Amino acid sequence: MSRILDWDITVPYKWTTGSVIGKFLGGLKEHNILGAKCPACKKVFVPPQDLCPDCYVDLGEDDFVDVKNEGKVISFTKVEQDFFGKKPSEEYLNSRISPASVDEHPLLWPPEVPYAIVMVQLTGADTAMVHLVKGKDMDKLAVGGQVKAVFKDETIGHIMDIECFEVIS
Amino acid sequence: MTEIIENVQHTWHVPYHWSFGEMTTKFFEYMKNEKTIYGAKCTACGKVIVPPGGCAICMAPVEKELIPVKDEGILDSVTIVNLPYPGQPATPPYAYGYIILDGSNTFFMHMVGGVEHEKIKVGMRVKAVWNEERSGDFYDIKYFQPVE
Repeated sequence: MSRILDWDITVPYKWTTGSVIGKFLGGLKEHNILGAKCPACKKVFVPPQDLCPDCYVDLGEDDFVDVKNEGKVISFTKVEQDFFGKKPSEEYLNSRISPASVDEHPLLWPPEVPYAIVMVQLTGADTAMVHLVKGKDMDKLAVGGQVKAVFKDETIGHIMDIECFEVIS
Repeated sequence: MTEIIENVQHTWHVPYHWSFGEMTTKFFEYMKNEKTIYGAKCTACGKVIVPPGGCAICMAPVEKELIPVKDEGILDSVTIVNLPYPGQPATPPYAYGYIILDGSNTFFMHMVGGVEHEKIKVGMRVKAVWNEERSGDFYDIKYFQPVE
């Protein structure tokens, strides 16, 4: 006879964003998507970076530019198979070794399947950002198609302040 | 003025499903029911391995028969933990170490307690302090306490 243990390994983390991503997230809070424009090569990075990887020029406060809330799909992956690890078990949370610092952020958990992970190049940007398409828009999703960010009403300065992208053409 | 969001917090959850196997199941049952620690002999070198599983030196299996070892032994090494971090078995400061239980040839890792940390010395004899309520896991032993 063998005993079975069902358990959770829990790894809380706190990531310091820095001034550039910090401002990008602050922009999302205001329903605004910010990029960083390299003064040398004029490329616009979304999400913004603190260094142009091509020119090695530092990007900072003066280099932020607004980009459109819409753009084109560069690529996508449809997720139809659900997977584990989305949330901790009740048993774990009530147990003696559950860390007191476990901070629940349900908005980062992946949505219910099916959904798609999409790379979107926003109008005015030279790079693509990663986000979600879900629901009935899944059927209309195509590489090269136009999508638009759907912002939540209540925002906190987080990438999931964008609920998802909707297909507009 | 756009706000700077200084940090992002989240928690990863990695659920797992571990089958103990017959020997480890028995090992914990004996701890729970008999307050006794068991080991098993390596089929190659004959050393007593605790907990019974496999010999980490010979990479050989252990014999099927479980052998009781003493719940006291020699503290071989010790670490005092002063920094808090998630998932700790106790609130710092606490001590844990490797204990060579009498009748065994391997290191048994557990907490060292019931003593001021300044008085903990490598080479001292320690003995298990068992919990009255036991559920068949390593926490059935509260800690190992130095003996005279």
